[in-house]
Amino acid sequence: MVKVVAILIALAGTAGAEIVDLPDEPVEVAPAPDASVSRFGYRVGFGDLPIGGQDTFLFSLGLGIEHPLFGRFRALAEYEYVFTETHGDSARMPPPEHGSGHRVHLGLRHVLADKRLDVLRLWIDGELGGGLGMFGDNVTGAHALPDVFAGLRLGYDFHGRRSSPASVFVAELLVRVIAIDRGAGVMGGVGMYWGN
Amino acid sequence: MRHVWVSLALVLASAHARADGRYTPVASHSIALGFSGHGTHIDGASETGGGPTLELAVGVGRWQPFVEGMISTAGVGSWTMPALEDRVDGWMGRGGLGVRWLARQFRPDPSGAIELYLQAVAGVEKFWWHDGTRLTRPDVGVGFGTQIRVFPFHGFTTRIDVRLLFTPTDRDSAWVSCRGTCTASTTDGSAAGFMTGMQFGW
Repeated sequence: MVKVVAILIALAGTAGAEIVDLPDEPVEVAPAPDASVSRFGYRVGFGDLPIGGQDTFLFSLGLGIEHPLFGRFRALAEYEYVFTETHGDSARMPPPEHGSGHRVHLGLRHVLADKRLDVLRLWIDGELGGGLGMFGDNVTGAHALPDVFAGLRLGYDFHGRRSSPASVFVAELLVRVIAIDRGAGVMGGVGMYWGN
Repeated sequence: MRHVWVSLALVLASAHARADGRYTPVASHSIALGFSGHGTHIDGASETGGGPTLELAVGVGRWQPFVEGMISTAGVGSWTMPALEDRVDGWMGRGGLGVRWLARQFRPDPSGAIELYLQAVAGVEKFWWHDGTRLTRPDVGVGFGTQIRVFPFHGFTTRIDVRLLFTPTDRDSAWVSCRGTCTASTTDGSAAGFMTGMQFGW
């Protein structure tokens, strides 16, 4: 009885120890990833839009989530904080026109092509969607900008061990055409996502 | 027999106290050195600069409170008539507090991880402009970043950090202290900027 109590007390002491290194694990890799993985991550983006009829540079920092729907379709939702700067107009006096705002997008994406290489899956996805931006700047004030978009994403999934909290790490490049009331522009970006 | 049940309860309770299930927690204490660049606005003119950073942090499971400091170059465009931009250069010092939360952790093997974190910060910036003007203002920020940790080396970390920074830009604001050439603001009360950088921590 005393030995049992001593062993249990010893176990209680070690269970609270700070975990810095993981014990050696059997090499048990998670199932090969495919499109049916929920993801959360971020993207840094840049692009151009004709806001108010003027060529405007946009730089954005955003968070995004994705969830599998059916087949190889996934739903996506994004929030971006966007910085805007209107390209110089030689006929206009200073200060330069700049501002910032918020943009939310909802959409669908689908795998167009993919190839599995051991722990990696390389892919090209297409996407369609729309959203709403609310921007304000120091010259023309506030703008509400609904938009629709179509794009391509190129990237890879890197999958890890079953014990990993995130089963997959995703890195991607994005090219997107965004259409607003005064025309269309192009956006590019780099994103990283973690999937479960 | 009662001692067995008490001891078993202690084991179960302490097992749940293990930091956050499968996540490998952040280091209990760490120091990080890096370099950061920033872009904000002062009175409607863009202000930019960059410089070295220092951070001291403690770790509590997936949470990491920290204090940080930064010395940076600073340069702002000031507008005079007729339509000529005069750039004023100087220095910026910033001190702040923040907290980082480990949102996602991908472990390809037991020796390391690629992680996503979210963070919030608050700080104070002081500018020393070469024209003699001094400006002090607070800032608050939110952001995210990616870090790669190598566990066998006390969690040696390479971190890329991105933040939105919000600062009062109106020199008439009660939050802003200005001495010297303090022209009236042409913008509303606050402005958004950003800060990005890279750090190495252990």
